[in-house]
Amino acid sequence: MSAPSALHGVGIGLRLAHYEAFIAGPPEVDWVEVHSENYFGDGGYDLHVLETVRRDLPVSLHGVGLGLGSAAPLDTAHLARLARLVERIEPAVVSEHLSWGASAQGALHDLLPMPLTHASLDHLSARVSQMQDALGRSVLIENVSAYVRFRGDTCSEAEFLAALAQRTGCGVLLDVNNLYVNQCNHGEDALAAMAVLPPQIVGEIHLAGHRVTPVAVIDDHGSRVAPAVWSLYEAALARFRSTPTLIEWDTALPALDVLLDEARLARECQTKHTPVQGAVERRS
Amino acid sequence: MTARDTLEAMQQAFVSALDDPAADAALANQMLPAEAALLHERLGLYRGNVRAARRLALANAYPVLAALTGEAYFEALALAYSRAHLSRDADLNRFGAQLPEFIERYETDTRYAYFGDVARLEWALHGAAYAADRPANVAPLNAQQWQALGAERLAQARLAVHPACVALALRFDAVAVWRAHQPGGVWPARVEVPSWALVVRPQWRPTVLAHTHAAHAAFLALRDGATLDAALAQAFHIDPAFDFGGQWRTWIEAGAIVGVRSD
Repeated sequence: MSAPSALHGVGIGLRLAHYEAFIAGPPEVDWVEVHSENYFGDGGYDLHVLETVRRDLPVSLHGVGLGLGSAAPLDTAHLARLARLVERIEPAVVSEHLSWGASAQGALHDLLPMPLTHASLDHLSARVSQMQDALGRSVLIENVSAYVRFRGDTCSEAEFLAALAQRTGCGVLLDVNNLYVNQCNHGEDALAAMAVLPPQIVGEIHLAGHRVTPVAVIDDHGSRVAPAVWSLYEAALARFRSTPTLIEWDTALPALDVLLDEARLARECQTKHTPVQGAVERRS
Repeated sequence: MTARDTLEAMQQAFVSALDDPAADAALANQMLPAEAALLHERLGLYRGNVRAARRLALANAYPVLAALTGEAYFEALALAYSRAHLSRDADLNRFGAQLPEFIERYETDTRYAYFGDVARLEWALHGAAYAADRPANVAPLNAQQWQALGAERLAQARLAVHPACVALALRFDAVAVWRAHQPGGVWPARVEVPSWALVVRPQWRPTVLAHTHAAHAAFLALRDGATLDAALAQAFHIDPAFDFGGQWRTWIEAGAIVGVRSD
């Protein structure tokens, strides 16, 4: 299995509120990530901005709508629009989630958790292969935050992803905040989850803020990365080396400077865990 | 039952619970957390997410309608619409296409019969934001190139309209209502008069031009491939005093007419 990512360093999300700042000149980030579905149009300002930013920075296309785990047939029109966008933007990475999102009646617009069973693995493997065939490239699949689990689960989410990667050649987008959220919500051990993932399959890391409520820890991407998640990130870097990392922020979006400051903190962690440049690298 | 059927049955039960909290009980024996009250609250988080995503998508496409109706009304409208118009399409920017017709049935108070036309105008504006930047296989002309074409060739030309353009004939003056909700706008004296609107996208930001009935007829004819001569004949049939010169300048300045068709 080859290294599934051509990104390096730290990226942030490209969001509407920061379009003007990006158009004025690329900020101090190594790459940007967007939600693929926001750029499915034939044209218009969003695509114009993305194409302009793309001239300076690599792009990671992060899908939130394909619902790979849905029992209903994969929406081939959605997949075709993604393929068109991939052709247009030439992203460094294309990713989706280990989730489902639609029944035969309709789309639910959320990342709903899968039963972690052999049957689900068969189903997801076929869908990931279908996606990779349609795009002509390998993709990364992300672990999701979940508020419920299934009694019939036969493995952990990390074991599921490792098996999925082995079967389909896909990589893993490791969301460290989601690991933490699931640790809080279900008592799942985040460090044990990382230990299950072979280092070479993790192509990107997500960091985000969450909200603690009496019902559950909620993955709302609406605040700075929590100290406990930074600690897990250090552990992730120790295992997965300087994997490209995204600061993910979607609700209550702050000024760009706040995102850049979070990116700086992530970069400092990466630097700490990067082996000293030397003869090994020059030989290759 | 095959494994696929099992997955489908679980997802079906989950969908039912997302729509109706009373359906949570059907999931309790296959889900965790084991404590029923906590599971109910956890599933409630998903219910909230799904409703919020749909409401936000509709409010994004229909900002004037949302402002007109207020938060509580719009939330109830979004929920009723979502139940009536479930779509397999996961692209939230395409969610809400049938809201104009839906709200005309949903709102039975005739004082608010104009909501439908306001929604029609807003959906056209929403779509215009994502339309292609130019028509395929047509070179855009600038002012000098239009001039150079000459009156005779122009009269016989078939013209290319911008892909973002939508011409609407409305029962109510939705254009005036929409303008009233733009900065500095004032509420119109009358809403219960027919109007004609052209949604345009001069550069990136879609906006609305008011059309006369005659301009509307001419624009539709041009869009459908008539020569300019033939389109103007339709306009003058409706209004012998149709101001073609003024309308032409407005169309060109708004980027509504882009160039000459080669097909």
